[in-house]
Amino acid sequence: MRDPSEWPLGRRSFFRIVGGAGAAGVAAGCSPKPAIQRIVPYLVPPDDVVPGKPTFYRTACRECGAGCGVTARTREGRAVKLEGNPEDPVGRGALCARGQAAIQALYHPERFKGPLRRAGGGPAAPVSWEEAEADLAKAIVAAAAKGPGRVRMLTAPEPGTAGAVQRALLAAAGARPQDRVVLDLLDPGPLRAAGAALLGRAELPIVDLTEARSVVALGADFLETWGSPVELARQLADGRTRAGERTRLTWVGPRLSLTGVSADRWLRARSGGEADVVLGLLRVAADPAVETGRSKEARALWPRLSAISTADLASRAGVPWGEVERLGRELVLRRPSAVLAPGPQSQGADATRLAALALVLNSVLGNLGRTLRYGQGGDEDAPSSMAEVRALLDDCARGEVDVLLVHGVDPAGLLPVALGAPAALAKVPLLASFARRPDATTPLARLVLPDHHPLESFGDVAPRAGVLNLLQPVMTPLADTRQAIQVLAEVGAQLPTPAKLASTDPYDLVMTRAGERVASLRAPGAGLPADPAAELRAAREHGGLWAPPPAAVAPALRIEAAGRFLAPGAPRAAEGGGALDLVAFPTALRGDGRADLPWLREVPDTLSSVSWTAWLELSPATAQRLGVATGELATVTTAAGHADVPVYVFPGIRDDAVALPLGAEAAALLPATLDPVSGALAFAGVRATVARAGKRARLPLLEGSPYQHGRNVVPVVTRAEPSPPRPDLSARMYPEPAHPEHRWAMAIDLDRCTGCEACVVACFAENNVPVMGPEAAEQGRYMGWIRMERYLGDEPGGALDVRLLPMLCQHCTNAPCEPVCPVYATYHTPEGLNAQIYNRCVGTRYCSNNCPYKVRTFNWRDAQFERPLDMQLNPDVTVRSRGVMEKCTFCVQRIRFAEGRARDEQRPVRDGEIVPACAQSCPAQAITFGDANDPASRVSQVARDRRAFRALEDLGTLPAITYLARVREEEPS
Amino acid sequence: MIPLRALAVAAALAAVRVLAAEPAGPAQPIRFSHKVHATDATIGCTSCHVYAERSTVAGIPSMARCFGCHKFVKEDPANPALDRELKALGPLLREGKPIEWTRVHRLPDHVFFTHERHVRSGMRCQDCHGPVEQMEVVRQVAPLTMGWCLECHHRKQREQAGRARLTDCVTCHK
Repeated sequence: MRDPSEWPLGRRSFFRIVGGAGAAGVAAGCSPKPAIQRIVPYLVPPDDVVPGKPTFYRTACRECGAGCGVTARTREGRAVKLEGNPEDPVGRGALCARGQAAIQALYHPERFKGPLRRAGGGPAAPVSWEEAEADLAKAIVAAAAKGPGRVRMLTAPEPGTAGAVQRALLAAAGARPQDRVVLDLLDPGPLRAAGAALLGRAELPIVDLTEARSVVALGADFLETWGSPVELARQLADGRTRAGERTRLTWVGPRLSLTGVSADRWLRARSGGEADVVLGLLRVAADPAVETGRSKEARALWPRLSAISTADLASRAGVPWGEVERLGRELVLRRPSAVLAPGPQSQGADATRLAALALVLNSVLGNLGRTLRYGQGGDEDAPSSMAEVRALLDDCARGEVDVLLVHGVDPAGLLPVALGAPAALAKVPLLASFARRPDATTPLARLVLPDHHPLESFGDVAPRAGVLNLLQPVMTPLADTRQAIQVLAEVGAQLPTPAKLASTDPYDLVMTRAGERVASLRAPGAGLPADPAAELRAAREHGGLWAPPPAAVAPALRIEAAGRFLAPGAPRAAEGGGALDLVAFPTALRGDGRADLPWLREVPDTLSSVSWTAWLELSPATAQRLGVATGELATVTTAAGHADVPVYVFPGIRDDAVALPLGAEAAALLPATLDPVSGALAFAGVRATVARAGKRARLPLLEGSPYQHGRNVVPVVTRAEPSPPRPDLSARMYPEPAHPEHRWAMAIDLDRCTGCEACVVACFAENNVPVMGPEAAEQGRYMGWIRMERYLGDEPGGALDVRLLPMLCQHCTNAPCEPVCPVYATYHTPEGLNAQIYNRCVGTRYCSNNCPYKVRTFNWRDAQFERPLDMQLNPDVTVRSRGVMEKCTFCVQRIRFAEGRARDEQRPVRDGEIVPACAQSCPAQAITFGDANDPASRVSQVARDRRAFRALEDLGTLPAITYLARVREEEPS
Repeated sequence: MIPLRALAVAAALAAVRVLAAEPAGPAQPIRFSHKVHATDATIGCTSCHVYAERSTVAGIPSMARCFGCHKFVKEDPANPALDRELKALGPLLREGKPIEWTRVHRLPDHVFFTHERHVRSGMRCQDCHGPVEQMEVVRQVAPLTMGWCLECHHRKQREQAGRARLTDCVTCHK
């Protein structure tokens, strides 16, 4: 037999004949013959929808009190992506991880499909809205007849129409104002109480770090959950990179949080020692030897402060006096500054004292009215204290509450178990829950009246004076849900004395109220608008009404009231048993512990790299003493209860402390201790013992090694060495590919980046990145295209030196992944992108093995997008299937969109016109994208910065991503 | 021997494909004729497929658009067969029931084709869809395979220098 290669009819010719003859046929191609598809046309095409093109709606975020504006991108009538509203002064176009994940709550598979009623002890059965509302009205009438206090409400803060409707309904039901209890677990209530005591203003100041030269955060993790994180992250980043002087951030607390990682200095105060640190700072700031031109507050306080022994303070705070003194001197020199406290990590049973001391210090330093602005708050719906929540639960348990309306909160699941919420709520004859999906409270509810998602609702939120962000539905409701304010208004209309509301229609309610505010939201002197209706229409289109805020007031400190906070804290009682300080902390992804959305659970925590589960942080020394290692289960016991939590050994925590994120485990461990002055829940000041549980947990941990092992992958720069070391790359072996038109490139400023993970969630949303679940995460099969690479130091046991590096495909000019692909599925495009063609990929994974950055992810199984979560999928991006490699594309769909638009308008692509999802979402505006071929483009300018470096540059891969090194401050002189 | 047999197999396979090459279009729920609309009534393509010039999809005309004409063109007494069908259309439109068409042209999910770019570059609809205006029942004329797309893209690239994107994989696959 002859060699087949000698056949006159070769393989290619054979296929050419077969294929060519079928040129007019339809069966060619590799796709399986499709099933018959139906195309159903519109009956009447909507004016604002062009199939295949996005439609944008402006609305607002309701995930926390910050109230950022939102731009929702919709396709064919369904929301696919949430981004910030660039016109909104709070978020300025950015949106945090939780805000972006709100879209998964909209499409959550477990959402209630309609109202439910539970008769007796039986299961909940569907009921019509009319019946449910009539039931509720009847119960309210019966309860109101028994006297005040029988109808109560427990709600999340609703600073807008929703709150006004709630109050109107309760008033119509004869309820007293205190019968409406507002629950926000993370509200820094002690700061409000301190303001009332010292300044006569029971409000939270609006923090503005724009001018701040120094910032001291004592447990206030303002880059994650405290205050308005998106806004504060941007302000800090601007201060960090402004010409001249760099804003200096100090973190005080027993555990390094993400805000602590961004800080230039960490004062490892013991848990509960924060107030003594502030007292020490106050003592330095008021010392005539430090500053001669002291304020009158400082002069008045000095006699009391001078009597305090610095050694005592230092020992109680757990930090050397020298460090406190140095920080105090820095604050005196660098004005204005901002001293922020308390946050959950520092909020103990003396939280009001900490808040008050921080206010006194801010006042002495002249920060009030500058960085801490009073009189600008939008505090329309101040949360109640935990004492009021507890009083409500106590009344429920005593059977003194007949009707309890629960809106936007999950008291049975979120509150510390020690408060006994489930048992108390079970005593309420009619508990009506407005929850959108099952939580720990809904099984106790007799009526479940599912609310619309904010993306299906009308609403308004006024996070501060001069800002009114409006919510509008971006799509038709998915199920037979009804907006809570409509339900309340309709129930209110059925009462004997109907609620005083103009309408029962949410649109009318919201717009009437917004109309009343148009005048107040205009610049002073601008007068009344010529056409308020037109102004409102424009406001709806733009997402809100914004005016310059009124001038901040600098309230005078009541020095006589400050006196009682100046005494040093009681020395801690000695105790044995090796008890540790329990630190319960919120995180940027988990918030107050509610994290139950797929993206928020799948994305690993920046510092621990743990996903899907809570973890217990122990310092290496403590872990060794207890005989536990990362991944082992430990039993934590407090006076309130115990919980088994997997250990993560973390050098960023004091040896005398143990930390875990807020959530079910923390709720089991926290006792119901309250700060007696403000009534706030004491998260801190809890003693815990930790013991080996003797079992290993399957801990989903993404990190390989948390140490750099001498490679200096993430360099830092100092004033002495303003540039990171760069290798000599002048010798080239291979010719470089040409980029005739564009060379897309990115620059990431690590001095701005805070590691908040907003970019990661944005990438999941934009690029249909699948969520693979905890089992895959345990095997390291995380699919994110961008991840926060973080190093804890150089070698295990060495100095703690946390460095962050957002790692995504570097789109190398000499990409190691490209030559190893046997099927040409990955290649270098003429525009410099490292492209991955899914339909060519056969899944050899050679590319991933050859990638030095480990940014390629492999689909080990088909992704599951449980209905209706699949409605969120971006139609412009392929949903990858099993056996295919995938990676960052620089959002090529956005590049093509901008290029197409530029072509239509017959102009070149403008610099800044293309914004990948990660860059768009970044609160700190750390990411720049553009054309490196254009030397005038922003990305080219940023890449020429002297702080520039490239990841693993010595490998000669010539990445398209330039990082700007973090600035390490030398210790102040 | 062997080459001959291979040739025979290839020829047989080719014959099968040629026989299958001119299928009628798929059955549609109503007897809609593009010939009547596009040729006899001289209605332009984008009068009904309104999004072709500005979006990825050309768009199937909405029922409201059908009704725009057919509230006047509702009978044809001279042609009993047509009259019957026109009269059946009336109730369908009045009841607000959309016609569920059977898809004729389909691209795999990993292809991102856009009508907008092709129409705006001066291509005629018939270049890909064939003489639809002469078809009673629409059928797919072009194979819509990647090789077939690239024939044109390669030719354009030869004609116009500097159009690297025309044959870049990520132009259509992303």
